[in-house]
Amino acid sequence: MALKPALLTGRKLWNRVVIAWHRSKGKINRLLDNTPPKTRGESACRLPHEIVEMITTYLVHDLDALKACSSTCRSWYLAAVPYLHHTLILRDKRPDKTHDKLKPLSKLHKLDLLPLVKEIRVRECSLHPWFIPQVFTPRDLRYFSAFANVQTLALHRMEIHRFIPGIERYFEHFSPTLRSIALYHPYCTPRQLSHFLSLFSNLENIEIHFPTSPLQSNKTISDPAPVPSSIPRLQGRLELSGFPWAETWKHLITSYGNLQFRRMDLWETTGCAPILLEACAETLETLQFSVMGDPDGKCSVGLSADSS
Amino acid sequence: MPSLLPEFNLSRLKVLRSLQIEAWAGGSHPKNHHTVVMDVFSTITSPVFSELVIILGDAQIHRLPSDVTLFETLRKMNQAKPFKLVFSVQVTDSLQGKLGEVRQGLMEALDSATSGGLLDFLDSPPNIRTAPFPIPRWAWA
Repeated sequence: MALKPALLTGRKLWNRVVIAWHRSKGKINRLLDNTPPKTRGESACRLPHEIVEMITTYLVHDLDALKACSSTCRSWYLAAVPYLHHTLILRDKRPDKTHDKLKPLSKLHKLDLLPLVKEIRVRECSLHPWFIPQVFTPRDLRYFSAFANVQTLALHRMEIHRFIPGIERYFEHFSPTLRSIALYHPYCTPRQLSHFLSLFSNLENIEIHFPTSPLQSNKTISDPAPVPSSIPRLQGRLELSGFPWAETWKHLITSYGNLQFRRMDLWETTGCAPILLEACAETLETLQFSVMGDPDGKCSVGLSADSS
Repeated sequence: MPSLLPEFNLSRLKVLRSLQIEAWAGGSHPKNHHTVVMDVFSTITSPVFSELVIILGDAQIHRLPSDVTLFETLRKMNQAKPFKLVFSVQVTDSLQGKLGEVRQGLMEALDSATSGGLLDFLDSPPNIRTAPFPIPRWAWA
């Protein structure tokens, strides 16, 4: 509404000028500082960043709460977003579709969120594996190679043998940052496994779980015996269950010298214990193992009943 | 005496601090479990060894106070080589919200064992820990 100049007294006019100046100054400052516009959540925005971070760390397992925090204001968004995108879970949501299996990657790339991902989990949900080289289009492979800060890989029923030869194209970029790898029911040969593990020069922790019964299907996989490509650090924790192959460790040890794990958890690890204990004799501080019995009442340490 | 389990000869481990044994308590084990554990334990020569951890499933907790053989074996082991005793419960994903109850249950079981004189060989009360089950639920299939 236009004001009639004649009705404004000198005092009122001055007040309006002052108010307009303050508002403009605020707008200019916000533009210069790149601070967000003041909203109803202004009081929350005034909290020191350290406090906001402390609050969000309490919510790391509550995705809904984190999402709500990230919608509050920019400072809360900045505090919550690393936790929101910390773990990327890749699974086959549409087994009937043959393309776009890695669509989440393009979305993350578009929003520039790939650097925030610290852990990738790949999960198989059906009998037919979906995480195979054929699902990587050149664009998907470009996005997959753009993960720059991944520290943990957890791969469920991964068919490692399908990526060989040329597995480096898909996984070697994780080498600078990857510290831990977990393999649940991997499909490969003992040497393919040691080759895969050797891709990651900063790897410290390894977790490998096989099903209780030996992997019959693995016996049909041809073994080109690839040469390990780097020297993993392997100074952290080794967890094995149902692991049948001493050859994997022999291959790593003969290639690089002794392992240096500080902690070992061994369950049903037929034949692996002696070579692993020997290799880590100088470094092993904590050893966990299981005691199992068979129907005859005999028992064994870290061995399955089948093997005793 | 030769080791029953030569693959678990721990005499070469120079800096072993902690030995953690799973599925060896609660009364559902074969009779010679204790002999096997003693046998493995006797191979430890590390000068820094200080801790023995017994790992339990949550279902084993309530049977713990009645497992007299377990505590007798622990007594013999402690006489051979003193250690700090720890009981650790492996908690599955579904029990993560009930950690307090699990710990309380274990504390009560150990109180019962203590009042029965089963832990009088220890210099200090056993510690209690909880640890996640090693394989997450999403990777079970």
